[in-house]
Amino acid sequence: MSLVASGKISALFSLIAVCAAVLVMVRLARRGRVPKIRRLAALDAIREAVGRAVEMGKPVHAVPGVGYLSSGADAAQTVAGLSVLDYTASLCAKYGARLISTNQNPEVLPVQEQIVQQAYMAEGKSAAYRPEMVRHLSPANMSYAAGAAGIIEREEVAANIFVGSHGMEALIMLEAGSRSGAIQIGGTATLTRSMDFAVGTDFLLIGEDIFAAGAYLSNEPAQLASIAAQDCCKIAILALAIIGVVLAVFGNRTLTTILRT
Amino acid sequence: MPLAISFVVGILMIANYFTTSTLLKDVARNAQTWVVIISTIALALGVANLTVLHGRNIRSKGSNWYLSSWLLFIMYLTIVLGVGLSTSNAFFRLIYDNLYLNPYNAVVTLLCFSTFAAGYRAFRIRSFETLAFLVCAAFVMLTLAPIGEILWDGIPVIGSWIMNIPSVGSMRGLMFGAAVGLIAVGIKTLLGIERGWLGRREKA
Repeated sequence: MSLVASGKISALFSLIAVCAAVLVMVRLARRGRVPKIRRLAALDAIREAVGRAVEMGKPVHAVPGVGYLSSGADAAQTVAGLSVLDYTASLCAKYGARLISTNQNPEVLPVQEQIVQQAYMAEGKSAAYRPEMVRHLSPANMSYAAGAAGIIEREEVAANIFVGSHGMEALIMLEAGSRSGAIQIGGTATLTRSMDFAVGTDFLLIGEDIFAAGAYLSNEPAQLASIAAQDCCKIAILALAIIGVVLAVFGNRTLTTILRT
Repeated sequence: MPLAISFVVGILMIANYFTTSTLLKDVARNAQTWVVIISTIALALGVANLTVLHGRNIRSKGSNWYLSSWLLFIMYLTIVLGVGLSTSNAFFRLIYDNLYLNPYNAVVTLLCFSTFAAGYRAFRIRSFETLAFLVCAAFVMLTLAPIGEILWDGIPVIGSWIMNIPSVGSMRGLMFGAAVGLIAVGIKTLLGIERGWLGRREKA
């Protein structure tokens, strides 16, 4: 009896290859070969958005998505969203902007509260932190959307920052933000919702860009190296796809068979 | 400690997916049950947050304090009825269906107007890309609406081609990138390279 489940051998080797790529690039980065990554206008715009909020005397609304920390695809996006929230909270603390961070998923609530509080403490502004900065509205998607849209319009937020896993509620919140004149920065790797962000935001992060957020904002060599590793893996996938297409055109299904083992 | 826990549990769940070991599968199943339990307990955190926030608003007679009172009243009434009577009880269903489901569905319909409003703002020709965006969107919308075929036979052909070929290809490309990014974030989290979710320490 095989130790590895059937149909998952190639997936296991792919995972090992990606892990190896990340570890090799991180090792190279720690030896001084830190890769440079391109500018991401949306992440650069967060500083401008917070500055605008300070000038206008209006709050910043930041949401790390509505996903779980315990489910696969959502968890990675939520982690990315929390990195952006950490950065936004530290900027708000530094420049004195009022922060509102709404929450749909109670599983993420304690992490969200801790991140905002620690961002304020790290900037030496513990006294400025208020527990009501992080507000749980509802675990139901549309109820959360109604509550968040109400907050955005009543408080007349100057900046809306939505990075993470989002559902249908994003479009309602983006519409509310547009009506209140907020600058809107958003991104999600949920492909069916990317179109909502494409039409609703002023600055957009598409798909995998959100996974680069943590590295981009922290500028840590190890994290930047992992982005380079991702790009290497994408090149490898592209090469495999081209080889597979060429082979399939000539009737050879070897690569397909190997990838299905 | 949190990094160690996340590493051990993460490796366990990965191993569970790839192996046929029944021992690992039993352990992973127990871990997943614990996740469900902890997530359910987290609901209580949400209730506590709402109570504290709105309770403070009511005590200080802040803005719309009467709405905060109504929210807390309905929330606790629903909890008490659901736990005490059961969720299939007629009185509970009366409150749930009329005070929750109907307004919920009404908010869903707002999506229709939000979509059109967002599309109206987006469909402005500022560059070649936005022109291409507008033209493609027009063909796709006319393909999906009955009037497209009436106007010209070619509209459904072009619209279907746009939906099935370049659109699907682009989505698959984005999907590959997102999948690789997802794996990379998972690996970084397991190895402790990604620590944004842990917060940070105070500056000295």
